[in-house]
Amino acid sequence: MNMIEVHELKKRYKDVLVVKGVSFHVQNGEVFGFLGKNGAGKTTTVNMLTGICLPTEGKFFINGISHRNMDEIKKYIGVMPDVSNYYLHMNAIEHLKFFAQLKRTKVKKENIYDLLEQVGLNGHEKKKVGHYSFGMKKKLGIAQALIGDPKVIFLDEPTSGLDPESAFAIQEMIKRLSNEGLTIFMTSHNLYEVEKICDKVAIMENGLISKIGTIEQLKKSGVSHVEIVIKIKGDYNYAAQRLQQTMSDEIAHIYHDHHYIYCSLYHEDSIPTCVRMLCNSGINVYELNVKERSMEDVFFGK
Amino acid sequence: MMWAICIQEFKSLFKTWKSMLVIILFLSISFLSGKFFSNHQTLLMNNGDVPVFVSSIRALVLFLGTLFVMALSHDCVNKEIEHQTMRLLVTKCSRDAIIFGKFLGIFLFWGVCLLISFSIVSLYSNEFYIMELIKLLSFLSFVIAIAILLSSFVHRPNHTMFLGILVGLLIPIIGIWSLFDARISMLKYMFPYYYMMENGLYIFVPLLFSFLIVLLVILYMRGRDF
Repeated sequence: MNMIEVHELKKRYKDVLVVKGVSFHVQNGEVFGFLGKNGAGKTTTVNMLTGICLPTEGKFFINGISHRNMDEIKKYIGVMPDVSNYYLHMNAIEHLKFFAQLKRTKVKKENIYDLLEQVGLNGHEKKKVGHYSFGMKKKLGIAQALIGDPKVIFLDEPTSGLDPESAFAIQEMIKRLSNEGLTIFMTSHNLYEVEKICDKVAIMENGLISKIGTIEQLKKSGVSHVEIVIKIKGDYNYAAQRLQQTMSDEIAHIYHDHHYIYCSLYHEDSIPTCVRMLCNSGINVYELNVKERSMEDVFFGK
Repeated sequence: MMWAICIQEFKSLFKTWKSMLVIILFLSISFLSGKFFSNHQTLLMNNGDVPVFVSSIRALVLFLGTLFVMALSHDCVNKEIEHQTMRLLVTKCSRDAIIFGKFLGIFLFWGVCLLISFSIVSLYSNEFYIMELIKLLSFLSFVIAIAILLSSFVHRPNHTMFLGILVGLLIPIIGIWSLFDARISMLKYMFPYYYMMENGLYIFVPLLFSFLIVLLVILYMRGRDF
């Protein structure tokens, strides 16, 4: 079942079309990563999906409810906006109680303490939010998004500005929540994080989605060569020349330095042939790695 | 949802030094006028339509009420937008609930202030002036709606602080002037002062105005991005 369905969503600010018609869907329980450079339109898309701003054109459905009934949608979503702030005179407990009241949810005090412990705010529950650091406010943002048992949560850059330990804890929490069946829609600039926790990713460029799919699909998309790195003992120049002479139809590109031979093959079936050829030429292969395409390569279109 | 916003607004109004000054002023006036008129019983004979015991509170509300409301609530909406707390509120409840909640919270604050003031006076007069209280609340509802309108349409709290003072002074000046000057007498129907002099259902006209203003604000907020 699709938890989020977006059709040709557009947003115009004065004369500028910021989001130029995006369509995608997110399945129930999926962790959906939304990537893009600054100004690509991803935050505007999230803001439209969460009721912070209104779409100029297009439509979307969350939990089967049309965007025309946004107030009904709000019952099922939890949101951590990219930029937001809190009531500085209130502490974390007061905030969560207030937000629970806004969502017409009754929460027990122990549940609030549990939630604050999950995001790493234990010990700071009664501290005024005015005295919170940026990272602590971020954690409170995630806690308030989880208030009221939402079916889907929108997290706009949930770990940016956090220390590595806190970021790791939040990433683990996102994975756990996903395993519990929660749908998570998150934006991030951290490609490693996206690769680690997202099931599906969309990359936005200039107001449009340029790539969308699972991590595996994206890594395989647009790949015509297999990159391998070979470590040998002996003359690198001789080994590279031998490979090029005997496998010229199978090798797209080859070069070497003093430590490795870098070889670009047309097909992965050529890898065993390559190893056999080196061994038959009396060259001892110590290491062979198939270079996997990273999310960074996908993002930068390498 | 609306009640959560209402209670939040109500509580926050008690947390500023400005509101403390207003409360102290109202309580002092109530005590002093109650004490004064109970010691000078002869003055009670010359009361006209207005109960003399609450005349000072009435004068305070009608002449300075707009300024007080503007001083305390000129930024009730745009502060939430500027501090970006609105971005959290709109993802959790309807924009209508936010505006209605704000209106009710401020109204409740002034309702409590006036109720306490009238209760103090009633200790001296042995009478609770309920109709006068309703009249003043109707008047204040109009002013509160204007404050919300200003705070929603003008985006910067700094600007509404200045405009609030201006509006807080202009409303009583034009409102009262229009009662006595034939050249601008048509304006008197737009301000609550005319209805304050009337009795019967007329006293609810400012309340009706306030609902219309709040509806206008809601329509505007429904189409706004945050």
